[in-house]
Amino acid sequence: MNLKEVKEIINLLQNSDIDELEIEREGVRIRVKKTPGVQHVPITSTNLPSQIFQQPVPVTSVPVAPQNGGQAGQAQGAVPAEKGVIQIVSPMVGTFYRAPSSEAEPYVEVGTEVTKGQPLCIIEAMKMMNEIESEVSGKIVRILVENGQTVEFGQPLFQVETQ
Amino acid sequence: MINLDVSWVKNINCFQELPSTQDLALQLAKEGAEEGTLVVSEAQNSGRGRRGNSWFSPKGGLWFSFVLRPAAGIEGSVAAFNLGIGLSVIRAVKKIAGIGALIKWPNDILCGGKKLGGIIADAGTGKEGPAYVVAGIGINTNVPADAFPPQIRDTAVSLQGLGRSVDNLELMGRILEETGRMYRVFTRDGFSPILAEVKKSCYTIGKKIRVFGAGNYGTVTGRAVDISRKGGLVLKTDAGEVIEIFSGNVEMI
Repeated sequence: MNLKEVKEIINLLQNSDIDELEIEREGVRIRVKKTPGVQHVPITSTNLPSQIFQQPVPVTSVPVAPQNGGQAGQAQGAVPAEKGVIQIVSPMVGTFYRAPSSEAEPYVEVGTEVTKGQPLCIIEAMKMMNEIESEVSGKIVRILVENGQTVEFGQPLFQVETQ
Repeated sequence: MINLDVSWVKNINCFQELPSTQDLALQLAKEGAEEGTLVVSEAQNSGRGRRGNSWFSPKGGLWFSFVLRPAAGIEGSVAAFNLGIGLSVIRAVKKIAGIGALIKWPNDILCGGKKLGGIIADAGTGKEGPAYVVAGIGINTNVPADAFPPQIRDTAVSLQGLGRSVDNLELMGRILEETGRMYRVFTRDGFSPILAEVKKSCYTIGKKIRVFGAGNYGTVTGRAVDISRKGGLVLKTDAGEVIEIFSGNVEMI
């Protein structure tokens, strides 16, 4: 499929009464839709615009050692944690944001019950927005970084009590 | 006939109008869309920039987003990929419109010091699938100069305004070709092979700047001196300290 063919398909649609056209050739699928604003993908209530860009990234969750959790935590700039508390750490260097946009409410607060896969924050690096999801279900007991601060790779961000 | 190597583009979704190509492409990526899924719209009514900023995207401009699924191992440098996409846009604009544009770190495309376009990217991992990157590109191509809203009229520029109207599809095809080429290099050898060209194409280096929201540094002023191997902007602050920043809004002063 080359660009001329793509153009011909688009022209064909625009000059016709057809509303939507889908062509598959040589493993390439082209879908052209005329009706403004109508998406071919059903938008469900869980995909409202404010939530659409909530995308998870891989997160390493590090169990905090029960005995010397304090030391281990301090070594990484975290506060001591007890048994049954999982630390969510940053997978990258970037700026930590607690909300999806500057006007939006934070994803979570201390005390929020979260489920595995729920978004916790965004880390921005060079305007690439990386949504960080919780690796575990539990209750947020500590938020270790202030909104807008730089975080390093592996830096603890949240502590989640799993029991 | 234009023949481009865009074989990596597998699934093309064209619309006359969408709220945002990026939001739809993200949704598709989340639902498992394959690498090479492309969303293009003649106009967007809720085009977005960084952190919820809106992006003026009328008919006439070029607005599209695509899904990539990089293999494991480039997570650490994935943000620098943004700069690689910027480079691809610049190469394509040069070839199709015959105009030299520059990258304003990290993601604006400038022409004559005014904003010609921008790039956004969202990254993540589906529950089962590999990491994905959804990149969105917006370029003021055939937008009349007087169509810009008053608040951006002095800072934005279009190819049409420069007397260089283009065929949007041709420019998009060329950008996708350049991106595919850059992507292959990037996933194999990382950011280093393109760093020299990114630096050469960077509007920001050498400029006196103020950066808002530069992480722990808050707002800093100084002179941009370099781009690091990780893609960060190296800044010599007014206090004489050399720092590397990974986010923030850059203003020329």
